[in-house]
Amino acid sequence: MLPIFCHLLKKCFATVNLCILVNGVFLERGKITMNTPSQELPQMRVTTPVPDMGSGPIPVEPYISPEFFEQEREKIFKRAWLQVLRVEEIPLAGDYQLIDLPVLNIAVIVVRGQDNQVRAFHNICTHRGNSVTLQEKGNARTFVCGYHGWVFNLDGSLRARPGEEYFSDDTEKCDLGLLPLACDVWNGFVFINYQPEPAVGLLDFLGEIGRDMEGFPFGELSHIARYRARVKVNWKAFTDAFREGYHVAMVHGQSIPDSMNSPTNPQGVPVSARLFGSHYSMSTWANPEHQPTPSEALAWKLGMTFSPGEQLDLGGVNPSGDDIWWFDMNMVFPNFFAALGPGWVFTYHFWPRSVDETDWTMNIYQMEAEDYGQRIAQEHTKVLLRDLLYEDLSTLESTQKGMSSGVLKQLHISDGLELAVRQQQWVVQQWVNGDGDPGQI
Amino acid sequence: MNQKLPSQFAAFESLAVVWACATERERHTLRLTSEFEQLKQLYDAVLPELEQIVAYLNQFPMGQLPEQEQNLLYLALSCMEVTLAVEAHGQTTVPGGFDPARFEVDF
Repeated sequence: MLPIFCHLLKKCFATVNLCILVNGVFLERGKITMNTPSQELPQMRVTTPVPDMGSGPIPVEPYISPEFFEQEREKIFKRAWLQVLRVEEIPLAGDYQLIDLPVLNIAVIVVRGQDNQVRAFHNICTHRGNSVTLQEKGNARTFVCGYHGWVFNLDGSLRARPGEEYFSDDTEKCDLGLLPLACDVWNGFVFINYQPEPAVGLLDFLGEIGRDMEGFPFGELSHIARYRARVKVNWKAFTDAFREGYHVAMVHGQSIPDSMNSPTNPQGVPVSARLFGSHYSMSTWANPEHQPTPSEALAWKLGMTFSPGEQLDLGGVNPSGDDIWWFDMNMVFPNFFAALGPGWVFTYHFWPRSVDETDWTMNIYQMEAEDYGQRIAQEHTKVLLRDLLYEDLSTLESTQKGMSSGVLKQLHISDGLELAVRQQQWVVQQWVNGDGDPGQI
Repeated sequence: MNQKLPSQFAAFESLAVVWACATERERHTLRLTSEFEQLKQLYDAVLPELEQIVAYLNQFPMGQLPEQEQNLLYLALSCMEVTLAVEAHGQTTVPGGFDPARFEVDF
């Protein structure tokens, strides 16, 4: 009954002016209202138009189908801008890192040239295909292939070949530079694109989500932690776990029982959200009645930490101007999350290896510690976030296992609580089977 | 001198022998593999004194700690390492959490 009602109602409205009734939740332009007869439940303010993303349950198939994964590889990962490094990791001319990207079946050298420009090349000698470098990172003036000694400049051009005099005209050096990928930098974040000449530039790809983050002092933060795990879960099921606050009450019920949850907001409904084409941004709610633990209170006394607390007046955060705001979770499609808080950042990368295996990395950044109290407070952020991620990662493999059985055909989600989950599967469909990047059409 | 800590903090010497570890990986491993009572002992002894420890360390410029002061900092960092375990979990590992052996801590 309800799905039919939704469908009829949908037909009455244009895409921008969408209003659907799902499980008692009205989804209007700019607002999601929880329709309840008794107490007033918190509302997530959606401050952008919401596209017609369908309604009702979403299919399990894309999370478990190897065939669909191959299409994602071709249609998403080979076309999207992918975030790979921070500029601080290659600060000097000649600095490079070798990045293995199984999802693209490639390895990429990201190198800062003598001209200070950052470039990306396939780690494939243009002679007979050997790896040009075997080092994960370093500083070089040239790259020398270990097979026949071909030498490449940092801008990728072929500098020299032993036995040059034996090569004929159809192997001109100028045509045999390292094969490039597109490479660009946004606020210190290095992105690459498998297409040497992508249809859309990085700035346009990021669009409004990028603009909302402008002004955040990324370059002033210290890199304080890196954690990694290889998890037997589909990359989308992995990102789903962070695309909502609904899980917090259960998964983090012991560790942060009252940071995002309270009797007035028992489900940890985010305070606001923004849908930007393929990307999604949400702002989490900070419980004003949060009781800091002794270590939290001390960390805030000494410096700052991840738990809700004072807000620094930084640019690039709280784009919807929420009064009660903890941090923004910016989800840059397909696989890069940047959580921006008042004085700290953590990022997630989700690198698919197969339909049911993903490499995950978390990097944590915080304001430079100017004294030892701030250094110790930074440790609190690291430890707290790390323990939370132990909790987050714990549900993923059993979830994938359940879906992989093929017995469950659909996922019954709440738009009021899990809108970003619906959005991701819709965006994925647009890239794989639809018109392409919804942010560019 | 074979004291790990500055003499002002001699009371923590036996704790420092165990917990004054230089890297996150070491401190984290120690947290996961110790007895819970050891975590609680560290927390109960050092957390109330952290402000004093900070005041003492702040006499030194950042990144320029002599060896004993370095150990004191590591002890303080270990104290932070065990806070959630003591305050929330009541055990050394995160209850029902992801396998720590598969969770890589780079730094």
